[in-house]
Amino acid sequence: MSHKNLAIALSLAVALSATGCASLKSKKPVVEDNTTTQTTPADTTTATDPNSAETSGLNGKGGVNASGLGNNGANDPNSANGSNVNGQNGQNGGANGEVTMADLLTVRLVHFDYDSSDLSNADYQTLQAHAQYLSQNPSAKILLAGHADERGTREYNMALGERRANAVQAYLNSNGAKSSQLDTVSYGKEKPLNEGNDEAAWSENRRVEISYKAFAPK
Amino acid sequence: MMLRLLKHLMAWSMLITASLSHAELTIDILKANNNAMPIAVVPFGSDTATEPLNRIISDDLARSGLFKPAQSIPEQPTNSAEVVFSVWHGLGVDYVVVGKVTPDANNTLTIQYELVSSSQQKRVLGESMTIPPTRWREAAHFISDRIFKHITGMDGAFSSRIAYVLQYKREGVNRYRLEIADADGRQPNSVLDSSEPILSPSWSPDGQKIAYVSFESGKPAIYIQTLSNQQRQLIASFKGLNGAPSWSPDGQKLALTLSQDGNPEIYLLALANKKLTRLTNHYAIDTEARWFPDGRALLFTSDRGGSPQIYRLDINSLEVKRLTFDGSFNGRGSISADGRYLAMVHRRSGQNFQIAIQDMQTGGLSTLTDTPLDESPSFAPNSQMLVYATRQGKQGVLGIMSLDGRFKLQLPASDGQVREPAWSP
Repeated sequence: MSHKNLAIALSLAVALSATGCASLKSKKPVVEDNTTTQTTPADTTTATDPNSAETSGLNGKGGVNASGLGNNGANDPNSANGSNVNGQNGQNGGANGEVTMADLLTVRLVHFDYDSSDLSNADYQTLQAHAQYLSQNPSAKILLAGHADERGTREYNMALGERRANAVQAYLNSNGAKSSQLDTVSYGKEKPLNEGNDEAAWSENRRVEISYKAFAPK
Repeated sequence: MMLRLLKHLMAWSMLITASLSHAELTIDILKANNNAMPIAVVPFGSDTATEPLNRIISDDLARSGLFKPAQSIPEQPTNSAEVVFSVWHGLGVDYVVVGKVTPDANNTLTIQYELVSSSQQKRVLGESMTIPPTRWREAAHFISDRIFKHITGMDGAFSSRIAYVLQYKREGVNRYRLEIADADGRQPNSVLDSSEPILSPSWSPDGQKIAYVSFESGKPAIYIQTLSNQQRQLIASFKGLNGAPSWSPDGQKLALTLSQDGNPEIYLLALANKKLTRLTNHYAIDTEARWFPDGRALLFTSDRGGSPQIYRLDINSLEVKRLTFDGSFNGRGSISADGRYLAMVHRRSGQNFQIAIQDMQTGGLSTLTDTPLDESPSFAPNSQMLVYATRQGKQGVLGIMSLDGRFKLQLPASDGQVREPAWSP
């Protein structure tokens, strides 16, 4: 920067400061809370062990195929009846090793390994339930928000979060959900669930959050 | 040059007058440079300010890492004729800065300063300037720049500014603010305050505008904001990612990351006509583009080789060449204005994420920090220092260091998490 004429410039600034004051009143942009409150992510402790589902006796592999779920009243997962039936099973699920459609639909988080967007067997089960719910409830819509842990650069993590959201989206899509029902966003590492700085916090933060924007299962 | 400087100052006058009282960043010096040059900045005559000029100038020079301002001031001359050279020479202090402040009739101040060499036994630099009282700190930084240039031959960066993102809590809920402060962390001004994340600020080459990513709509979008009047322009809100804006050296284009075609790719956006040109085409993540100083190439982060590494992309031929080979993660690259160094976030396998620089001639890599989660390195306009985001315990703070890592200081915020620093041109 050339400072040769700074003395003059600084003197001139006396005059400028008067006009500066006038434009001072122009309001600084402030963005108020204008986004809708997101569905609170459900309890992640709901059993999603594929083995327990295998032994649950629900029809077919993984216990979440269309016919099995249909028989469990998944035609209307929003109905009190359907969710009550499943809910009761779910509450006993830990003891019985039984995982129901309603249980799976309460799982709204999918987790990932470091720098990975690979889905696990447990995730497939959860996502099949959501895919099926979406295909049976064409008005239902979800937002898939991809997140990363705090390690690595912010924009790389933004891309990684998108890759994760896209992996979930593609799986739901190929399992019966329509593209128009699925929206994605990546927050990278900007919105950690756990603000800790250890492996436990990181694994909790590497996630895709599933939030129902319309016709959420009850 | 004059015009540019004047524009710069006009932008400042509005910014400064618009200043709210925010939590200022304060400085802790972590690591001193033992070879720093002794200098004495004597209190200026008739300087009754709460923040006297000699203190601002001393702090500036100390912050460069190249100077060690004297603690004891044996005499208080206010012009070069009053300086007793032998007193200073005896203390091992070669350079002495003296000056005085004179209030003028029309509510302005005249500041005179002189730089004296006790070994040469003469005045080597001297100037006078007239300022409104609101430009006190700018005048001090200007004097620091002049002294720094005279003694080291390099441009100072004391009149520059640093943009950063502050995450803070209001009633227990996170909020995000893009702020711009002086390079010493003082006079912070809010550019944007939002309930949703803000990241990746990038300065226009003339220092008058800033591009950034804001999630205020619920999705990422890139905005350009003019600092003098706070006017905002939505630049990119395509489907998917809208990230990592970087202003071209000629100010005509933005490099950015978009995933509208299904995968993160580097694009150029011509600001005059909004024409988009896609530069990369790879199924891997391509992001974090930054310009080489000549404007002919970009560097970017890609995991196309299996791990995130930094690549160079020739804008005309679209030829891609890998630049980093050492470590399991290298990202957020940035080239110094003199073209000599590539700064990056660097991780050796299983190790911390640290700031490293690679010599563009020899390819040699030096790790400059040893804290666990350092990020977002940004060069000072004179290529002599780096600002970066680091942690002090649980708190996000800014670190500033010399390129040899011999001098480090932190700008801790009194509250909130500070990150995403970008040093102004």
